[in-house]
Amino acid sequence: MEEILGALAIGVAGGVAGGLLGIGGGTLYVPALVLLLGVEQQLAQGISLAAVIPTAISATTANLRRGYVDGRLVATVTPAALVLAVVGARIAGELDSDTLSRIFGVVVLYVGVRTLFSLWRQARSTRAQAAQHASEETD
Amino acid sequence: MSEQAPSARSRGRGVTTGVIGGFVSGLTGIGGGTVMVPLLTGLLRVPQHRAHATSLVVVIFAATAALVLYVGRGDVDWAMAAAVAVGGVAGGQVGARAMHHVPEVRLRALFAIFLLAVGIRLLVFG
Repeated sequence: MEEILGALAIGVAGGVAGGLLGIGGGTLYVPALVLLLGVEQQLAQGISLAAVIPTAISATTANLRRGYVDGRLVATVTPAALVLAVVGARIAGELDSDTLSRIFGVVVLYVGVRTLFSLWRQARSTRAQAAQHASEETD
Repeated sequence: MSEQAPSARSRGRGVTTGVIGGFVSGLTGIGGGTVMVPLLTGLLRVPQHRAHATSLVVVIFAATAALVLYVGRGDVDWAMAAAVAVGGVAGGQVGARAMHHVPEVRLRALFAIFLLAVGIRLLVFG
């Protein structure tokens, strides 16, 4: 019973993050199941995948009403994603997943830092432009 | 992007996004959105909200394909998956509606902070 309530809470937290960030929630589901509920890694990944599907469908129904879904882009990205998802799932149990996760971690960190840096630069140039406009107006 | 026919180059970039997103999805069980959103905004210059919404639709298909293999291996606990899913459906509605109200730059910053958290988590815990 406690386990089921814990899983429900993980679902809510992952669902909010998944809907907000466009990720479906699995990024939260897997570590939460492993670290908080002590589920074994492979099983956690299977549970996560099963839960990500209804989570993503739920968020998508809200997004469709707002017209945020790019149907043409979905059609371009999906076939390749389908094939490679199967390939990835097939070798998931066979590879040194710990090393792979760490490599993946470095890539994700790099993208995050780069995004924050570009946002900071963008904000700085916007401020500089605003200051320039202000000084031109006073001239 | 959706207004005109996509060029061969943007089609290629779309396929690349699917290849990387799908592979990471199946390999790690995370659904692939963590990788697909930055690829959509960076490689294909899709606006942040649109990238999040579009990524989620691809995630539905990619997760379904990967799930079939996990079911075949017996790596799914359906009672626990159902509990996570019930919370996820409710949370997904809340999250998507919240996204509609977050301005572009702030959503981008939120996603970047999320990436930092995930990156550190992966580096530390593997």
